[in-house]
Amino acid sequence: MSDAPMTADARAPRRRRLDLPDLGNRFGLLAAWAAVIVAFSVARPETFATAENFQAIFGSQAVLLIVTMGLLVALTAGEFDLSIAGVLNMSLVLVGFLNVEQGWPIWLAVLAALTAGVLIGLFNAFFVIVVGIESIVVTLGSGTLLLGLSLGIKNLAIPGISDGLIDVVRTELFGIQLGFWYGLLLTALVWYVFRYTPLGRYLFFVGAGRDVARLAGIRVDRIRVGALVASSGAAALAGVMLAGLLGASDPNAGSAYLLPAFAGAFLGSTAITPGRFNPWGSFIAVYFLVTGITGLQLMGLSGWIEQVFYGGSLVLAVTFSRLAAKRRRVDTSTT
Amino acid sequence: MEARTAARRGSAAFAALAASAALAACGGSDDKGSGGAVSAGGGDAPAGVVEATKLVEEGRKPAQWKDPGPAIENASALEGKTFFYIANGLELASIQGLIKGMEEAADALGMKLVVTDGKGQPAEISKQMAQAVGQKADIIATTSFPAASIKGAISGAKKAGIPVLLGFAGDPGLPTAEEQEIGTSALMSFCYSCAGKMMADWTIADSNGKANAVIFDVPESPNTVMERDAAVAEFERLCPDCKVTVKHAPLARWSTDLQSLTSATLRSDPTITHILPVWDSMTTFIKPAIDSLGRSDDVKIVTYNAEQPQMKLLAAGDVVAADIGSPLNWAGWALFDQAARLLTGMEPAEDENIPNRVFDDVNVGEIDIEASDATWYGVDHAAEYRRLWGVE
Repeated sequence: MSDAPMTADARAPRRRRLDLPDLGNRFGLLAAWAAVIVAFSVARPETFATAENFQAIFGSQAVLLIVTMGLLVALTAGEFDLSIAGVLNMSLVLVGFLNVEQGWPIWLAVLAALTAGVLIGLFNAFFVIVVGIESIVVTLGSGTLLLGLSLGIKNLAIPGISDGLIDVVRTELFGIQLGFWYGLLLTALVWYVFRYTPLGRYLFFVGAGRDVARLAGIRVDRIRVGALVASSGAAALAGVMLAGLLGASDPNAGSAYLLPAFAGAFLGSTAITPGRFNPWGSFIAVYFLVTGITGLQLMGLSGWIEQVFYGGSLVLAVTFSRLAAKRRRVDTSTT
Repeated sequence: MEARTAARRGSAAFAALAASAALAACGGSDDKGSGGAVSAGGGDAPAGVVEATKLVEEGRKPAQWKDPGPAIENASALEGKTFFYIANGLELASIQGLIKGMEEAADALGMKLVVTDGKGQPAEISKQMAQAVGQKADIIATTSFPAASIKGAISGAKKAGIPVLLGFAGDPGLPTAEEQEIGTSALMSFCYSCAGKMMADWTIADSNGKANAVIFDVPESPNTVMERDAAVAEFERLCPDCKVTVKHAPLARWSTDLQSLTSATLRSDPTITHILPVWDSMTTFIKPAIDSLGRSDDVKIVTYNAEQPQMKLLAAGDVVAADIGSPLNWAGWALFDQAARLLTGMEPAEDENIPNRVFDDVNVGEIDIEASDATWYGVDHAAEYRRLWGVE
């Protein structure tokens, strides 16, 4: 038995103090976003620091936001969905091809595109869960296949998509295109499911450890199928959004969304609930990255500098967040 | 057409060649501010505008045929010979248009055409060239890759004594000494700098010498850099009052960045009058930005490639005001003309004289957009080549 007298501190419950490293870790990305906004507002007050600019920024990433939210569901369940760009592309081309070239009413073309998304999700799920191949491999294959197929359907842009869809996506609410509000709604929905529903818990457990989850009684296979279908479904929805945004389809538009979606998901996992994929973190991540790029564009820069900025801020943001997390662990371990 | 052939999946291939071009092109906007001096001219319009207007009028007209070289003496010697073409992406509409012309020309000469896909990657092109050599092709052609970036592949063909044709690898001309050293026997191309010049001329004429123009280039594609530089030079030559800016749009970032880049550009400068994308397929991403800002009535798109979707917009009077075309079908025949010369022991043509034609609301009604571009240029190139070759 220790003879050392018990200090008042040891006996009394620890008083709560402001856990700065924790806050830094959780909200560092938000702070980085604010810093970028301030920096560009100072550099270009007449063009950057305007309501119009922010309305444009928010409106511009609707498609990416939607596809990232779907990806989050898959990633949380432990599945890598690399087919999202292919699904987005296929959905976009289907809307253009069916609505413009085949003369289908727009709502039917949209329905067909969304159904295709769900079917592709089931297709992926079959090979991942029934056949048992790693999702990263299956979706790499299906994604490539879809990109090729969409080129096969139509290898040129198809302008002239029905005004119905264009209005639904481009009409402005509080100055921001409706597409953004749909993305925001989806973000809130995913957050709600993750945070407040058993389904959200199950997704997390399945992603954390499939076998343990199974032993705990969770229907792991169903969750995984659902996650892949959600991911493809969201990508198809994003494709429909893009069709409305562009007023046209283009067989090469989808592939550019693959890496930014993963960037948004992983960068987002460093904020709010560090270490875990989360929708608000990804929301901040997506807009943080585009705010910087828009600032550069307003300063007249374009080309390679955008990609350098994008990649650089991604690496820096993740690094600072990881450093903040390390500091926190060091702090608590010495008390 | 050049639409995406140059860099669709092979931007890495241009690394060596494009590095210098990209370094020169990158970094920031090249702001050619308006000069002080107004060009003195008699009458209402400045001299520059008058000249630009004349050039545009010429450019609208149907093309004139010009023999690329002397007639082919014994085309019958070509019968049964194999032309091996390594395409730069078989799914591209532009390549398909080209191949159609090649098939017709092969038919006329009784030659065999073999088409494979180089997929825009030097490694794949090398593989296909080795195949061509193994199959003892009589002549090999590839498009959109300058000799320097596929050196190894071409030297293999050179060793086997097979002539190599490079298409769309720069403005028309004879191969340089280094290109010949590597193994290139002949070139065939559209005049990209002519297209760039015409884009500037049209803009100058349309704005009466007061344009505020933004050129969007594709920095990793040397052909568009040529196009852009020619446009900038033409603005400097004929329009000192014009304001010209250059923006860079790497191919891989079109769908994610081009819309916001256009939007940011237009918001930074509400006086922009013309946008000049070097490839008209960029319109899909540029037009929504113009529309969303409500500027569809003040900003015009002047571009190059005359692909069907953009020609339809042109015909409908929807933002695209002028689109310059280069005939793909004709280019297919031109490749065979070069082949015919090389395989019958003649000198290659220095220039196949493939014309460009500028389409705008004045003359778009003269063509059938749904039909093959073989009918758009007012010249029956197939008949002319047949005559030159002495075949039916």
